[in-house]
Amino acid sequence: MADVRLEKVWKVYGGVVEAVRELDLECRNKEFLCLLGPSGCGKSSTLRMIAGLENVTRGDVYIGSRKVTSVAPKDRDIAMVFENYALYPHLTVYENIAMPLRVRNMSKSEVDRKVRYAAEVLHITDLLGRRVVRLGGGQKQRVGIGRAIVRNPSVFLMDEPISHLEAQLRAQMRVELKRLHIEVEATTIYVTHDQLEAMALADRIAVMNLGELQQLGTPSELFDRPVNQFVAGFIGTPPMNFLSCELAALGDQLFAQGSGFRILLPEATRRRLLGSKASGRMQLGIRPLDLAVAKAEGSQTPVAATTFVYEPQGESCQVTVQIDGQLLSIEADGDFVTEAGEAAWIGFKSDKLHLFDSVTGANLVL
Amino acid sequence: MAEVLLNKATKRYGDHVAVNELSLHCKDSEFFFILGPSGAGKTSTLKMIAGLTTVDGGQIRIGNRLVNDLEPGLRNVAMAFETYALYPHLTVFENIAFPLRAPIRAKQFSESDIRARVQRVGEVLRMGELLDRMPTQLSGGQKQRVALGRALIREPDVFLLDEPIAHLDAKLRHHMRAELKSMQRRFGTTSIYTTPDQLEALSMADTIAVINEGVLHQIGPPLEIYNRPADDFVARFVGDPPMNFLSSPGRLIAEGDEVSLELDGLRVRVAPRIQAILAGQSRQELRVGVRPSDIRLARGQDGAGWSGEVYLVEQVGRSHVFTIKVNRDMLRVKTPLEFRAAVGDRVQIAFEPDKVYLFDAGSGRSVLV
Repeated sequence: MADVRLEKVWKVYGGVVEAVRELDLECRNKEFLCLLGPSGCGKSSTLRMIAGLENVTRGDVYIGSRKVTSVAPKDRDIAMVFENYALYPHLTVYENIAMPLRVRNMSKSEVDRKVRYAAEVLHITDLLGRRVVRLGGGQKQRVGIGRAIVRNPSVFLMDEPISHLEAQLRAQMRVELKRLHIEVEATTIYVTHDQLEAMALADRIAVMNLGELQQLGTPSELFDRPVNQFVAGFIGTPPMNFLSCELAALGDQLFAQGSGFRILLPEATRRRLLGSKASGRMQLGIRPLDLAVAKAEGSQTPVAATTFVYEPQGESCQVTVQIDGQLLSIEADGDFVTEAGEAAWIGFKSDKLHLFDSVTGANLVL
Repeated sequence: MAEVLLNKATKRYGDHVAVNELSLHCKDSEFFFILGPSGAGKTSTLKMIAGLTTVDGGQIRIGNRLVNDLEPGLRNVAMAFETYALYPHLTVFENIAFPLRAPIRAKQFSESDIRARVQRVGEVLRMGELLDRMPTQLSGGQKQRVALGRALIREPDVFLLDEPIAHLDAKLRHHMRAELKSMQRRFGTTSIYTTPDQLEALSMADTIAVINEGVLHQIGPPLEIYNRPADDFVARFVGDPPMNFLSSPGRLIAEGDEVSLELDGLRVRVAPRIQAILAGQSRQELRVGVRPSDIRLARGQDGAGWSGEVYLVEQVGRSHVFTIKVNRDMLRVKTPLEFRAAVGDRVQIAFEPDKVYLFDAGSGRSVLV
């Protein structure tokens, strides 16, 4: 196993399309790092540059202490797992997993040992004799991973390996992938557009957008301390709410004020904002979980609103309310019931408020 | 406006029975959901209602009309698909107006009629300011709304939607769920929506029909499906993370008036409500289900309940989802983020007596309903 480092890496297609822009990234030894972002953000290009499947336009790639920028993929000691498994459909699972080892002149017993180890770790021992064409999606993907494991590479690279699977199977595979990482302790770089997947699997996540790294951090850091509005809105489901607001000072109190609401900001936030030059319109961010809703005005729920839609979800419910034309989504307890048109009162958990610059999107309070 | 009634509707493709004697009643103005995994027969059912495929058995009624042999164009049904199929060279306004300009309806609508209707649809879909845009200038969610508008402008009796938001990203799906639900309520059109996504069905439906392999498992309002699943299939399919099922069967032990559940050497006191239902039943072997958030975890190895080992920890929002190895099972448990335990830690597991679901070990049917 090894760490992976990208130093000021650029990828420009056709001299014009900047797919990846000055990327500095480190994946530590044995770490599970996710590259997360919407389609077109540069995550797959980044992975392919680490693999050597794409040339780097500028900058360098290191695997361990080796500079591999100009090294061919087969010599980088990596193993890749793709979305389309690229398996040999008429060969057995055993043969598919053994394939990379056959070219290495390994003894039969050694090959057997390695294949069986991979199969056991992936819970596919009873499928070893089956032909790949007869397997389901989740099973095929496990064979693909098995084939990568036997190569015992320095780094595993995975490009959206489970995004095409059905929801329940995806959830199951997530558990298996995470568990696999704990058992095999492999440095893994994993590309996905699904933030739920990244949050569940990763030790750290690199959020990308439009070719640029937005934030690199643990799931908790990204969830609670997003550095900008893009990360704040991308991480977490249901997504964060954003409302336009302005700062208003009253004596030694500072409020975030917008159409239909005025919220007292905590002292720590006030001090942070006074120090900066923040003023004018900004975006208030608050997660649905951090909003309270009730049928009557109260100390915890001082802001008047009207229910737009009520969605029961079992243990919890989603209440979307309208405040002066703006919609806010609230996650409430399953017992809370309301319906479209009813009056609702909401409250904002002040220590969970975020404020973002309207132009740059930067988090003004971090 | 119309009701839709399916009476033992059947669809076969060669030897494969895709829809097996399905009976459904969708009330006027209802938002009716057909929920099931892929291959369950949802799209085949919708196509029979639309007239896009033949009916091999049973009857389909829209309003009071038997429509089995009625051409799709004469059923006054509109359908929205996953691919929007908008006319790229027409504005949003013209796309929505298009059905009203069709030759079959020539001279039915004056220009001012058309304008009024499109404006109204635009308002209900919250697209008023986008009417002059071209489809290429719209986002995925906006295009979806235009497609819906185009379907609804004809004021059909029934609106059919086949997994309309499946391909959108999670954030947009979240937003569209609220929009679609609100829109359906405002239009008031009887709507039948298919999806494999239980969250979609729970949040949006008035009534859900859960089907699998062409067969109906349960029909009811969302909370009834969630809280009182009729069988183990529904129980496992609805809810996320899915309900846990114990591999050891539970046995009912009656001691005088008291009934308790025996599970792998553990005696679980059963809540009074459940006792009343079980008293006098002769079932001995039961399949036991419990939802991830109805399991209590405690650190350490002492105390009543089962002892297990933490296999995996996942963070989901402000919760932890633990996978715990207990006896022969892997149980998923949802806890607040504050509860911490690491992989390998030993924990104690207890169930809330009132929150245990019991199913006949043979048929899978719930013994509690």
